[in-house]
Amino acid sequence: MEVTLGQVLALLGAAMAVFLPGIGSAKGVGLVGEAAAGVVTEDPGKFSQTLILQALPGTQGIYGLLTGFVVMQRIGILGGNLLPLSTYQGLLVFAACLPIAIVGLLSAIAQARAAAAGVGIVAKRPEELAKGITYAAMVETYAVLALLASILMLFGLKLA
Amino acid sequence: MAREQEFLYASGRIRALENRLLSRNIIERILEAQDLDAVLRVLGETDYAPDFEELESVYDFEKALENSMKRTLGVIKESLKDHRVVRFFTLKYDYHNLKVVLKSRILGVEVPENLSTLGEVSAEELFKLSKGESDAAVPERMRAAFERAAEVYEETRDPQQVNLILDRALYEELNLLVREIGHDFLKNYLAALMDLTNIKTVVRLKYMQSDFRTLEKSLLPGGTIDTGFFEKMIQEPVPALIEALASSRYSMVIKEGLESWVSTGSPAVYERLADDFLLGMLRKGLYKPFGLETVAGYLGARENELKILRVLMVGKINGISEDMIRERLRDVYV
Repeated sequence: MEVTLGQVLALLGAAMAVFLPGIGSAKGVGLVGEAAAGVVTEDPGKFSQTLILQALPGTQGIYGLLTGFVVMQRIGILGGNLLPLSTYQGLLVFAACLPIAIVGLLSAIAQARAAAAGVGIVAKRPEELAKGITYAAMVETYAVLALLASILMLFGLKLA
Repeated sequence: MAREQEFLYASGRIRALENRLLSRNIIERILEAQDLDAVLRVLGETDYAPDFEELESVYDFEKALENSMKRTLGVIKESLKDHRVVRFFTLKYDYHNLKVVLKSRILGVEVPENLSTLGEVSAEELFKLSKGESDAAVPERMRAAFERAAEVYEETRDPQQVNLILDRALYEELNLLVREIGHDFLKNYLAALMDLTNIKTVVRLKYMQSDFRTLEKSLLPGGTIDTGFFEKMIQEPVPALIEALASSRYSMVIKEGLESWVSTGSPAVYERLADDFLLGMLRKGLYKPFGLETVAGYLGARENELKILRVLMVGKINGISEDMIRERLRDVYV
């Protein structure tokens, strides 16, 4: 089987959709985890509340993986029959991956900062945990929008 | 941002510790306590309980305060990889110890209990230094300052010179440290601290009718107000100084503080307002989710708390009236 440039570009898009938001989420979850560990050192009873906040920036990585799977399915790599994509088709897939790749990376880190501030709320007023979660969850909107854009584009493409 | 993230763990820990700072409510209760036993009962409900329990006599309260601060410094140090921010706060204790050691040598007595245990250079090494042993493990800058102070004392036989030289050396080193850390928050804080101290110095020297030479030696190096301004101001009356600084950021402190100093002859109000101003700067740490500000703010808040307790304890031990104590009480951080 001959590999086309289009196939390479499409797969590169899928890879970016997975690894960029993955990096963002890893950094983000780590960042909140450090702040949370500080609080729990002094007050071990706050573990479960801070854990919820820590999980929030993890979703971008999942969105990225989801987009990656859609690409793999669309270009046929999951079934083992990679479609013979033209260069332009490959570029289209690559372009469709960009929203979640870039927004996923940056929004995970932004969300982590809001969640780390939320950890501060939990330290001071544990009864206000919901407010801390809400602030951090607002950032999620933009990751979801980017995911939506990427997925819609991928499903709209005619590749076969 | 990378730098801010070095403070994540420490900031989280501080967020929890801030809950245990003394609230205005506790301070009020201590203030209203009828006797020392009642004071100790209130303190028994706070983080100071273990430190005060260990005391044999309440008159040794300074030891309890020192121990509690030592614990705080330990907690912050173990939470940070880079200890320079903590050093910014502990350096003054080492210079205090240098003064104690040098004055002990001058008087020919050794009083290790006057040394602060919050310094980072051990008492043993400091006494080695004072005996002139060359292998004393004392940082180069401190050693040089100590030797300069000792030399000047030999020439002038004036113990006041020891204080002046070591104070200057302390602030010179703080300036260097702050430049090395390279964070605007500490830079601005140190500049304000030096400005407010210099303003106090110039007014005090005016009352003492000191000359230029004393002023030159007493002013701290750095700050945003230059030496030339103070040299001009020492010849003018205090209201001219208030007028000249009316549009500076210290205007509130200066107006109320210096006016009260002129009318009562006591710098107490100025000192309180200056401390409150500095605490206000530190309070930025309270609203920053994480970063150097949070750490510096908390350490400053703890020092402020010790100042408040010192005023309260001295006041209560000496049976000073509530109003007199209240006048000298600083604001609280949280």
